[in-house]
Amino acid sequence: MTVRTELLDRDRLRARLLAVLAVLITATVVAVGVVSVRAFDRAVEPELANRARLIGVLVRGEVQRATEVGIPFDSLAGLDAYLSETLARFEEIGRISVVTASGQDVATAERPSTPTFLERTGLNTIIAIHGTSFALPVIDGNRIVGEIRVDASPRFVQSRLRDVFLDVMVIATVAVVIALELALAIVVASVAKPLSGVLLLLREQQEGKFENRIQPRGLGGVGRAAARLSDHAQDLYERLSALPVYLRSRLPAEIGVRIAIGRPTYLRLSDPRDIRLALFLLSVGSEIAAAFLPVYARAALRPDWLSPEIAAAAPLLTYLGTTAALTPFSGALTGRVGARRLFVLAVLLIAVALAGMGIADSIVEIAIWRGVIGAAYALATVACQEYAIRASDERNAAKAIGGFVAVIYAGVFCGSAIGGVIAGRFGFMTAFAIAAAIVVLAGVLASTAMNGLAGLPEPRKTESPSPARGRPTARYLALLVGVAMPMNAATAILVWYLTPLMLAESGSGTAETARVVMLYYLAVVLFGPAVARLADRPPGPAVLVITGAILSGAALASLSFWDGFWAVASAVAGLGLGHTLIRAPQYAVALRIAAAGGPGLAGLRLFERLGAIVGLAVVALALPESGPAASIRALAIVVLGGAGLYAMFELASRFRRR
Amino acid sequence: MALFWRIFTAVSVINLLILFIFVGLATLQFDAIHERLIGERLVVLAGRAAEPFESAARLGLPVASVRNAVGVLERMRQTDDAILAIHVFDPLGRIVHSTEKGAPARIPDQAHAARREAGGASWHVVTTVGLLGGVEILGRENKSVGGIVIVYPTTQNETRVWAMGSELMMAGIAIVLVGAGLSVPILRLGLRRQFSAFESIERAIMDFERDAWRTAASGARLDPGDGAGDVHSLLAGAEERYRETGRAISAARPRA
Repeated sequence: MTVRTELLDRDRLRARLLAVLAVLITATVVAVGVVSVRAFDRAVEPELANRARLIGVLVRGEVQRATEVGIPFDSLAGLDAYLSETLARFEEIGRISVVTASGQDVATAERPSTPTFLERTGLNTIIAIHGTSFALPVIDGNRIVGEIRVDASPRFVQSRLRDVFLDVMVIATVAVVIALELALAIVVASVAKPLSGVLLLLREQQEGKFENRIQPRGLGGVGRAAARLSDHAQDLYERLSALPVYLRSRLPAEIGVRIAIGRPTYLRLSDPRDIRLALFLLSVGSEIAAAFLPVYARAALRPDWLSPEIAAAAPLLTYLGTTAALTPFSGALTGRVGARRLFVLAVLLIAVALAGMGIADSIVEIAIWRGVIGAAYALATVACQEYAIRASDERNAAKAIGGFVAVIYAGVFCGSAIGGVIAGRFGFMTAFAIAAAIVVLAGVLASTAMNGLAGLPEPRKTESPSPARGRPTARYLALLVGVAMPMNAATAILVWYLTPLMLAESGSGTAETARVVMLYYLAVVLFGPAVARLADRPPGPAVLVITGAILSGAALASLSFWDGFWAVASAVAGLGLGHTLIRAPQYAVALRIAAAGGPGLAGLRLFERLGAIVGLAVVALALPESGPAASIRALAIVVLGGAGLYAMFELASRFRRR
Repeated sequence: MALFWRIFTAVSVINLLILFIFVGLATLQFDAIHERLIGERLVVLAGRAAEPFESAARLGLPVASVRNAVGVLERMRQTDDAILAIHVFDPLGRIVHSTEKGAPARIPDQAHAARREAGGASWHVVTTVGLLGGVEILGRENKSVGGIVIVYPTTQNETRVWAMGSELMMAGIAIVLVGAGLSVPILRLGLRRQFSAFESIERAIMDFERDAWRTAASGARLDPGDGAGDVHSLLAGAEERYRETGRAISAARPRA
């Protein structure tokens, strides 16, 4: 029977698994979400009735006071205005009316009816939201002269539940992302990696090489085959060892095989996916703490000369500063120490720093610990990136980096979604403790998952000194200055800095702002892997980089013609999509330049960080004078200009090569 | 089937895990909404209770000097049997009137912090003594001369939150069970190529193993399979090479 092993294509498996998980988990979470909303509605009803009754009592008190001084009940002047004023104060009330005992209307105040989110989307038919009504009699002497009717607005409940429903959707997305990472890790550990090991041993042994073995892991037949092939090497080693010394050295060469001299060594297989789960957890842990950091920093003790705004930004600045400072050396350090060891050391440092931040009570301590996290995070992420690049062949480097970027942003997306909730409900200390525990778990997983050759220190070259990296070409510089710097500046300025400010100004709450910011990360999570695959195919990564930069520039420029909540949300989503088209392909371009003797990735990583720092600093200084609109317009021009500059040098380089 | 069951188990466990996370977050969300609804109602009550004190304050009288203050507060307390106490406090947080016999000397520190954070607006906060909702009592030129705080038990809210958590968990488990049932055809359909590829690898390994033990008994050569890249061929090639090498080592062993 012919069985081509290529049939078990892991990319296709990932894509199919993603689709299946998305269907299953979204259906489950939405079903539980609908049940939750209905249960919420039922459970808040008594409290809403209490509120409606209370408001009725307040109105009745005023009306009764008027009737007690002799004003006839059916000719109370100014009652309409009073009811309207009361209605304005209590957003949960839809209608207040005062009627006589015979049912004649004395005064009424009612909210204008505009269709709500649930009504517009038709969800109100699935989720029946109840309104509550209350009637309180008005007594004059010993007789009932009328009543106060208070109708609680179902729209108030709907508006509160709309937030719950949107949170449900965010949770569903986060759940799919987490589920995909876990399911992929399980499939890779139980099927993909053991099968790769078996196939490698098969090819080696077919060629007469019996020096290696693998751990007998894997499902069913794959596990049995692994055990059998490993035993081949072990058996031949033992039998050869039983021969006299002169035969032991001569015989293998005579029969054209290679047998282990000592015990057969375990093969250390590397796969770019080895880093996924550990990196994802590291990213989740780091982002949980970042989600509420400005609030935490603003509330901390600070010197008198430091304003609350600068105190809130100080940890972010030290974080970016130390990240930028460490980035240029991280690649070399990974080569020397080994990706696995460096990652584990870095995450331990991050866990300690998170604990330090949790017990810190002054802004100086918080900023220092955040700086430590920035430095360690730079080391850990570069260690993972180097591992992924070493574990993949050159043609698939963009795919490996694309996967790396998508995992980081999936972690950021999940961490930011749950960080605020944990801190809000359980306190900052608990959030830091959970973040530290997740980061430690990432270290434990990495110590086993990054056990492949790509995780070891690079062997030192003794024969000849390594050739010096070439000088940066104009094309490389155009990539750094025209694309890497402006795009990272755009992310830092629009997504991290101006979006919260602009949305807060237009009346959006923290939760809405968080959802808009998530749109940026969602684009990377959803489209990152597909873009990475495209980058390794014609017409090549440069076209994607230029398209992404133009799309990002257009998204920024759109804010010059359109404003408000949806304009900002569209611009953030557009920038997310544009940057997704750029990230992995720009690394593929840099790797191709490096392979042709140009500078390595360190310069690109450094300029990315510098772009964010410089961009933030410039806009923060210019904002009081120019305002957000002008800053974004200038940013759009810089991004589009940068795209043009890079396109020009890329074209010139292609013509020269021809 | 082994791969299917492995993925099915993983997906079901993940779904269950996510359900736990979801129910936890949804319950916390409900807690926040319900707590806010009660807090806002307490604020309305506190505002109503503050009116007579504000009339006195506008005349320049300190809140402590209001006569029959306890009676005014007690009437307000009786609008809701669940209210534990209503306190009137001065700007320093010292309680000057209360419906509670043996009331504490000061409002709790958490209430003080919530009040400071509200910056003159109404506030509500959950503390160890209960859910507190308060407003400022405004005197001349709208300056605060103290405040009123209503103490409400948290048990009612906690009971509702636990009930909500249990209801969601029961419904969630039922949904996950239905989801697990549905995931069987969805997984089989969605990943059929992958399962069939894995199963064909399994079959090839099994066929090879059968061939290996039969040829060991008959002494015949292994079936070489259909060609390069084929699992059976690779296994047969590796096995033949192992046997040849083993035979060569045995033949080379010097006789004792």
